Amino acid sequence: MKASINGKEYSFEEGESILHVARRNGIFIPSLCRFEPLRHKPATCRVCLTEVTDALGTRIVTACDTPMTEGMQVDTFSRHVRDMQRMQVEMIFADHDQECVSCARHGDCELQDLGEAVGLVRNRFTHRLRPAAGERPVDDSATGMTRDMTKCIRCLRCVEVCRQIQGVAALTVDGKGLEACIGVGMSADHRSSACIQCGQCTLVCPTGALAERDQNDTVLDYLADPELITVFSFAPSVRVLLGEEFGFTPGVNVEGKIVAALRRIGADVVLDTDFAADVVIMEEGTELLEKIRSGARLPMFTSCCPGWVNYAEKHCPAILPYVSSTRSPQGVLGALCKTYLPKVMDLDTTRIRTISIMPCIAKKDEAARPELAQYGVPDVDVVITVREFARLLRRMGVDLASIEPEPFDNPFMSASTGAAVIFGSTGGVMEAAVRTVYAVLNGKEMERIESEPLRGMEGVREADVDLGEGNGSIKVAICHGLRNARILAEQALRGESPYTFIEVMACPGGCVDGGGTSRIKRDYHPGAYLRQQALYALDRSMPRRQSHNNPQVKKLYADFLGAPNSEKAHHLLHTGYADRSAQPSESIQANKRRLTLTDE
Amino acid sequence: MSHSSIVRTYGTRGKGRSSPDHIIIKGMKALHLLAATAWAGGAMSMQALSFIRLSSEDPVRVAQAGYCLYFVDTWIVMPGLGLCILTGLFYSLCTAIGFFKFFWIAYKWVITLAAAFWGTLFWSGLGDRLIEWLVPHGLDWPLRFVRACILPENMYEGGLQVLLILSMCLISVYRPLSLRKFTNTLSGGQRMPQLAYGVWDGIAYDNRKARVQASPPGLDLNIFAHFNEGNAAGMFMSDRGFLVLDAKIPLLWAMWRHFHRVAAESCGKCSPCRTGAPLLRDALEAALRTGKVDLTALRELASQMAQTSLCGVGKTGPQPLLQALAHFPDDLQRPGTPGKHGFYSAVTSPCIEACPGIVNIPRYIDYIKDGHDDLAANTVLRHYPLVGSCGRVCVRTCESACRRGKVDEPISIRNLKRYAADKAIASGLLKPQDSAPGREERVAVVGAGPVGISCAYHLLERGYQVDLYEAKSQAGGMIRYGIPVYRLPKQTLQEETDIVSAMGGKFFFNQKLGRDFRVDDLFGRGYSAVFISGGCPQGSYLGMDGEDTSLAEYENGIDFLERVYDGVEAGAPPVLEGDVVVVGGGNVAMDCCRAAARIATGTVHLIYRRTEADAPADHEEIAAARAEGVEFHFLCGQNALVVEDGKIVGLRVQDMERTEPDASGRRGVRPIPGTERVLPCSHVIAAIGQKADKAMLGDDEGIARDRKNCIIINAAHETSRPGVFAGGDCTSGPRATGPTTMIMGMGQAYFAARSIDRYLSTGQMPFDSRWRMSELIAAGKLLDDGKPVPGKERRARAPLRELEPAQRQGNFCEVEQTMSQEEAWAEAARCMRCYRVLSVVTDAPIPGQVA
Repeated sequence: MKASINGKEYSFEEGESILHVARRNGIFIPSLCRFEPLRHKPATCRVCLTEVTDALGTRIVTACDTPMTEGMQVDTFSRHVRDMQRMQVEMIFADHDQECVSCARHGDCELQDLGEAVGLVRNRFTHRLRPAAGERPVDDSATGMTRDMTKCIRCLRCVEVCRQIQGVAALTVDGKGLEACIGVGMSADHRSSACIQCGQCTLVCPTGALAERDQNDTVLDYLADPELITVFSFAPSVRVLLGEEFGFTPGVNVEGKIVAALRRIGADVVLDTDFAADVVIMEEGTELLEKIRSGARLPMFTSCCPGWVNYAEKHCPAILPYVSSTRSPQGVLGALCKTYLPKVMDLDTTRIRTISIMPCIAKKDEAARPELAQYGVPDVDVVITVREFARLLRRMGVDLASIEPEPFDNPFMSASTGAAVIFGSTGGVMEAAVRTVYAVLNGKEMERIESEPLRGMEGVREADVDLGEGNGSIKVAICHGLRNARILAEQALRGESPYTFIEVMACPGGCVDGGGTSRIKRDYHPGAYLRQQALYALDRSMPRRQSHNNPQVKKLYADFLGAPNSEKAHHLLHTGYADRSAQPSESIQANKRRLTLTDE
Repeated sequence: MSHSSIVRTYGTRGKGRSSPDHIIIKGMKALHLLAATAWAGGAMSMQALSFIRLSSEDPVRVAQAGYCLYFVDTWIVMPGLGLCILTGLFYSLCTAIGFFKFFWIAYKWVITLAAAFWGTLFWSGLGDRLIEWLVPHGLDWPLRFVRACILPENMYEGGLQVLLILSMCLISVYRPLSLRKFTNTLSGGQRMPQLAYGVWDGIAYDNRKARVQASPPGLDLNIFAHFNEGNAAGMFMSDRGFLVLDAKIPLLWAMWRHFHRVAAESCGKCSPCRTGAPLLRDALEAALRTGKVDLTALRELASQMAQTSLCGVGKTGPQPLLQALAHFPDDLQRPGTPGKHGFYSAVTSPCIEACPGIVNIPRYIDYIKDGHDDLAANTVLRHYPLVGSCGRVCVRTCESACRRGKVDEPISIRNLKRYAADKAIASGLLKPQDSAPGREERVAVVGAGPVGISCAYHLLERGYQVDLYEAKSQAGGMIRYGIPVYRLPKQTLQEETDIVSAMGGKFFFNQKLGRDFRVDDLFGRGYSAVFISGGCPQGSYLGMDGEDTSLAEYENGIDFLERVYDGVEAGAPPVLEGDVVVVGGGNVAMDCCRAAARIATGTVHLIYRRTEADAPADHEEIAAARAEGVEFHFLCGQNALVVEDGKIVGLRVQDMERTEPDASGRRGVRPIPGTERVLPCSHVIAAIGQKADKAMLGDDEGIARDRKNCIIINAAHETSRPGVFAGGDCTSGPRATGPTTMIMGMGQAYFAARSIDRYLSTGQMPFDSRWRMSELIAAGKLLDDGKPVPGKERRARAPLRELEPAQRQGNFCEVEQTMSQEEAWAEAARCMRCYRVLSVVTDAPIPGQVA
């Protein structure tokens, strides 16, 4: 079929939208709300205006949801169209928070980009609207993220990602008219809502409306206080993520640069969370073998992902008995930082502040869990995301590109293995666990270290793991994205699960694509594959590739914990969960008061 | 407010009526009429006598006439006048009629007091002394004039007095509420609405200067003659433009009021409407305040909003303003204040208007899309409590009107409602709340079917104490007993009845009106009002020659379905041995044949005299019945039962053919000779109609019924007996006659409850602006735009998952499953929100509306 855009003829398939045909042919039409990776086309921004002429006449339409028809003539940048596009952006900006300078997305904001794309020359309508943008709610009740509705442009991408990818559907569209914005349904606030703080919504939000809770100033307070001992550590995936914040292509390993940068800003101790990941494998692998031997309830689900733990507690508490009791690497590290580390380094525990750098927003929530505190003192004092860390370095004048890399030097908690590094990818925890479980059972390493069936990007993957002669094989599963986790959880609850061990990552792709990673405009995890491959490459390059071969881990058990799952290990490195699934319910009469109807 | 209603509702201080006052009111009225007759008759007699006195030559006659004049004046006119004053004082002081509230009362008081004053003055002689006193000043002539009128002294002045008195009689008949209405009445009824100027469907009309009057073709302007009684609509605004019938209405003010409503309705998701509507509203308000109208800015904003908005509110809301800017900019800039005009805006859409209950369909679809299943269910709960039931069995006239059908397929509105009900009510997200009544008055509802339950629900919400009397042993009426559980599980209905129970509604079962109690008994028990929704519980038989309805195997559909219900409820559904023939083409016939298909050992046949396209049943039901093995025979009519040894062995049938279209274009059917044959069967079920129960009411209860024993009601659901209201299948009124549909009944229950509420609290019948607007829309076909919907991507409607036909055999498990959350979101996203804002400006304030 043929139609013309700006006077030139193009061919198209039936059902293609004008915008799709234009993009395919390199013709630019500005847009804002649409989000192609999720097939999200709410058509609420009304920015992608074009003028079309067909049998019904000439009219202005939005290009994203108007199908191209045979013989249609489309004009994408006549004066009339440009004026209307400009006015449209003026109207969007009119009920938006006007203080760009104090917004974390200043310079990285899709709305600012749009102003440029349409050639915005004036901003007439702001200050004329009642209620003004500033009167919309700001909800910062949650531990990990904030919802600032003065900046919401109602693109509804967050609602879509929470529904489509996570199946949580915590976000709703509330209010009407100028007060319309994103809410949390019948819950009182964000903290008590169904939200599990995975942060995927913060990645797709085009403005600063949804963001992580910025705790950089807390970190700077710690750094500035000479009495305090700042102990920094960073997650496996952070080393292949931080570069993107400084202009590197996805997947460049900047581990050494991070270590150097941390020392530059005044960190007292620099540790590697990978070390703790190895400890997790020791604990969890032992736990799994114990469960298999004792005939306990299977499958066992991993517990290192706080998004998944939140999901299980809030949405599927029946699965909690199946979830491993081992803490996450961050949880393990925090516990050891406040007990083992001061012992071996002769430090005053009360002066230690643990700061962990994570690709994840839910880790902020995890650090605040009462189960992960000792006598009221959290094991991890503050968590900052990759985005925050980049901002912190910039505030301290550190340019990651030019800094020279340095190695870890802490003799107690900074060594790692290839198994730990791949934690950051979906399938990595499973693969690491399998390497150790096999070795424990058979007394020797697996021949094929890398497991192809466990790698990949499909939402649910399964594999048969041969545990060596005489040990048979077990079926394991890996899933990422909570929608997939629910499928496996419900299967387990029905008693139909063929799996022994299941790895769950809340974020699609695993931690390398977590809610705290770089925001990519108008795209969704485009670097996922490169980041994942970088971790696998790093694994391949490491001298030791199994958690149980980590010398510092061996020393930890020898000097401090005894053996995996020992009483001390259990006390320090394991945790429990709670049913937090109370669903709000209301009387019909009380609920009526929320209705925003105007008739009758 | 209608005048007859004022008259009818005289009571102590106008607060409501009670029987004893009636006698006093009526008695006073009789006395007043007697007095007025005496006065008027006496005055005319005095005129006649005056004529005799003035024209007679005979002095005796003159003296006699003079004496008669005096006698009549003293003993007939003055007492009559005095009694008029006394009875008038009673009415003005003791009832709602007041002294100067209404023009005609004020007029009568002025004339009466003047007549009394002057009459007494001159009758007593004081008047003459006054005239003498004024002579030296030269001011005696006015009094002389009045004297001439009063006595009367000559025919002309006397005639003037008679005319004045007669004018009072005239005005008592016409009773204009204001002077303008009086002149209207005198000039031969309501003035015919004329279009002064406006724009409609893009064409501008200006009759103010044109010699030839033009108005939009096909639009009957008489619909604007009155919004509420006696109150004409002077201006109308909608998506099709605006019409000004009263040129004095300030255009700018009307546009501002209209935009007020548009801005309030904006959902806020798309920016042109979210920001454009309040910007325009504020710009119009500023223009009103300052007198300066920036046409360019208004044009730019309105044009952007109309062209780029996402839904009907934004696209059509600015249309009146845009048309005014394009064609009548001078009128927009003309200053003017609105005076005492009334204003009313309604926001509606084709689907809302098609729903007898005017449920706000796009709103609850929006709520589902936005993730608020609770608010979606609560939106429907504003209209009736049976959300899940309606979501399963409604006839969905809304879907036929759905404009999405012009793109691909109508929105699955009913299934979305079912989704909301299941997610919010069945799951416990919304709980019925125990509530205490706030009012003393008690209302009895007869019949706990969908209509009775809904009416009780609305009354309970308003705080009344409501008792429901139900003839059967469980609540639900026709939707419990008449709809098989594979379509409507009883659990759904139970949750909905529980809402009414939790609100305080008390159910009394096995209480049948006519058999166990009468309407008088209810009043005797202290109820202040009664609502009858007894339904049409009797199935009709086929009426074939010589049919024997006592045969066990010949049943009417209603009884059959009840028998099936009882069996399924007891865990032992009945069995029908052999083949079954069901006669009928409506939804009851579908229920019968599908239920029969589950319990018959043989084949189930359905015969219907018309074609499949003509069958009123939901065509999805026909498809489901076919899938379940029912054999359909269309254009097949029944003639007689074939009975052998007291058992049915067949049904004699005959093929039908369609006749030529008649005057109205409809085709009938006639039998084809020679096609008679016997359809072998052992059961025949007649599913052709339902009847009201004649024994429900007696003829002596004061409740008028029609030929079919349906209770006659007016638009306010009142029966002929004060305090008794009715609705649903058992009624015949302006909205529906006889048995119709559940949603029609529940829509009636909604308005009936409002009527009962007004009756009990104010004694005045309500005027419902929203309902009136629906009437206007229907009368003027105001929402039919007929325009195609260009430029939307086609997406198919989500079908409901259902049990395979094989899985349905022999059981009554629910066939259709509720949509999943993802399916509901996707289906809700197809809704185009075809909202239109319709506004009227009326001559006077509209009752019940805040100015």
